[in-house]
Amino acid sequence: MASDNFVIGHFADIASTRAAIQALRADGYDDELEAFYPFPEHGIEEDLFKGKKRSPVRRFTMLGGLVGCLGAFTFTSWMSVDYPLRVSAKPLVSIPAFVVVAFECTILLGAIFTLLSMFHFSKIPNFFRSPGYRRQFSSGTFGLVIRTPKDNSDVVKQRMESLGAEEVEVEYAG
Amino acid sequence: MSSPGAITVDYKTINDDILRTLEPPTVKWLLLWLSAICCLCVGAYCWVYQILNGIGVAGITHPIMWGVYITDFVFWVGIAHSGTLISAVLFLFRAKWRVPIYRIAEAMTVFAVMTAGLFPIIHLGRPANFYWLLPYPNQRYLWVNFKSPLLWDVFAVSTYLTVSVLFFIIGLIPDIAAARDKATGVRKIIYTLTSLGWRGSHKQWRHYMAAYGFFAALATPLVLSVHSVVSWDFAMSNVPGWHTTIFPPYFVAGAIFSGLAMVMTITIPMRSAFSLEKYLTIWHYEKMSQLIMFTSGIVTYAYATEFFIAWYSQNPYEQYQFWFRPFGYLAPAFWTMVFCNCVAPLTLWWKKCRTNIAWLFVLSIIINIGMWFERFNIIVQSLTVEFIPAAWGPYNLSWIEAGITLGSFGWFFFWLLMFIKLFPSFSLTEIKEIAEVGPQESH
Repeated sequence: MASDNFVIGHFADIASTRAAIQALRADGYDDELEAFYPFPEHGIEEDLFKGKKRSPVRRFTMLGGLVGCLGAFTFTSWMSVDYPLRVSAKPLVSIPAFVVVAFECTILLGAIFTLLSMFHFSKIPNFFRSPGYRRQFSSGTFGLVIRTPKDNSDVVKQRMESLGAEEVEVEYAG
Repeated sequence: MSSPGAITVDYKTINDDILRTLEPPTVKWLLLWLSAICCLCVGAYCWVYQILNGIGVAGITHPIMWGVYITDFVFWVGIAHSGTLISAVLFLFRAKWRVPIYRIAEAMTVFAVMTAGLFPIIHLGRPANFYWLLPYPNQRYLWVNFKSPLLWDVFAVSTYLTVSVLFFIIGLIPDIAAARDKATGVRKIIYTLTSLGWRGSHKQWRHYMAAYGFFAALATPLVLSVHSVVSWDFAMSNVPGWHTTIFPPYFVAGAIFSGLAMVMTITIPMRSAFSLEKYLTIWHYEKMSQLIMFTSGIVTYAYATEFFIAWYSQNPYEQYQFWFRPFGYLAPAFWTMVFCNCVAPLTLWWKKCRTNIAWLFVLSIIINIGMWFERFNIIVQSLTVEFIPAAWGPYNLSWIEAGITLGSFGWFFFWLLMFIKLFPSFSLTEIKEIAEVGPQESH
């Protein structure tokens, strides 16, 4: 099995990180390139996900909302018939009154599904060490990590340096 | 030139400044926390006393079956509101001034709903049976009445609590990760577990931002619905003073009004205690003041509309109710409300007042007193003089209710103060996002 290395570049600001990402993607790095940054940066996201699919989280939000809405109308109607409580001569199944419960359940399930799908796709919770991650990446440094065969790591390192990385480290990836 | 309220410090300084709030507590903090615990103990004692002796020890009796407990409930739900408004609605509007205050506002929401949720239970004759409000299969073959606004309220408040907690957690994850990477010892373990192993990789941020947007989009109608549902607890009945269609917007505006005031009450001392003046600038407070002016205007207009409709309706019960409020024996409560909610906020029309932090702090407390009295007027005054004079009756506030109300403040501040010391109470992720740092492209 070929052994790989992680080449980890530390960048100081958004502009140099974006320039480096664009250059590295032009070099042909795609899935082996990973970026870590301390806050959501739409520019970086744009550079990395150009031509790729949108996050599937939205489908789960929709699904949760639908399940909540239909589920709430179903259980309110069924329960009102199963245990009939006549109120002011209104029909047992009074849809307008149930809209409130259905609305709340739509939001509730929509939110829960969104959270769980976000956790699932972002692969959290995950308490194992994440290769290539450095503590600085959560405070103020931008990190670009490339997984590359061991004998190529010097080339990548030099490339990162030429792209303006403040510091470049190499970590054994196995 | 940088924009007003712009943050021009570098990322590492932001990180250090915000994480400084997590340093070991000062004597001042400890004193505040201990006073919160003392208030909480008073409240707990009163509740235990009420449980042992029965609900009769509270001042609620016929015809005023909803007294201070429900006043407190509506007050705390109202406080909760502006947290979600700031975090969700202003997020969708991309209002930059929300960034430094939204985390503490969200924390306030979560703890205020936790406080509010206690009151309907405290108000129950048999509080241990509170779960009977939920539709669950039971051996009595009973289901709850879905046509009752009180049941809607159970769904609205519990959904609101759940969604605010989830929204709060989702915003906290990257910040706890930043705290984890600087922490040592026990804190490191706590933050490692609570940050769920967040790394901030581009794949994670992509799903995170999608989820965050949806959370904001879901929370926005929710925030408007919750206080509307709370207002229907009143408006769906035909009690004079309650039976009105303006209640939902009036309650929502009032809630935002009181919530913003509470955000000021909390952030003004924090700002000076943690030297965060460069993040929470006068500009931020001016923006909040403008929103307070606006909501104060809506609330004042709603009060006037109630009087107008009482006159216009030609309904003698409604008319008497609105004569009773300013001139009856509970008139001081009414005039306190008018002074605090309609007159005092008028000072904000002067820029000098809007930018005077000391005055804003005083005003925020005045507004909260006023908003508590607003709910007191709606609930107690309306029930005091309902329909037939033979059924009218006075309200005698008991020391148990006063003690529990004090305890609710203790409970709220107990959690809030703990949160401030345990987790980042300012969103360092979003502050970094809007910071104007060095050479960078627009994003």
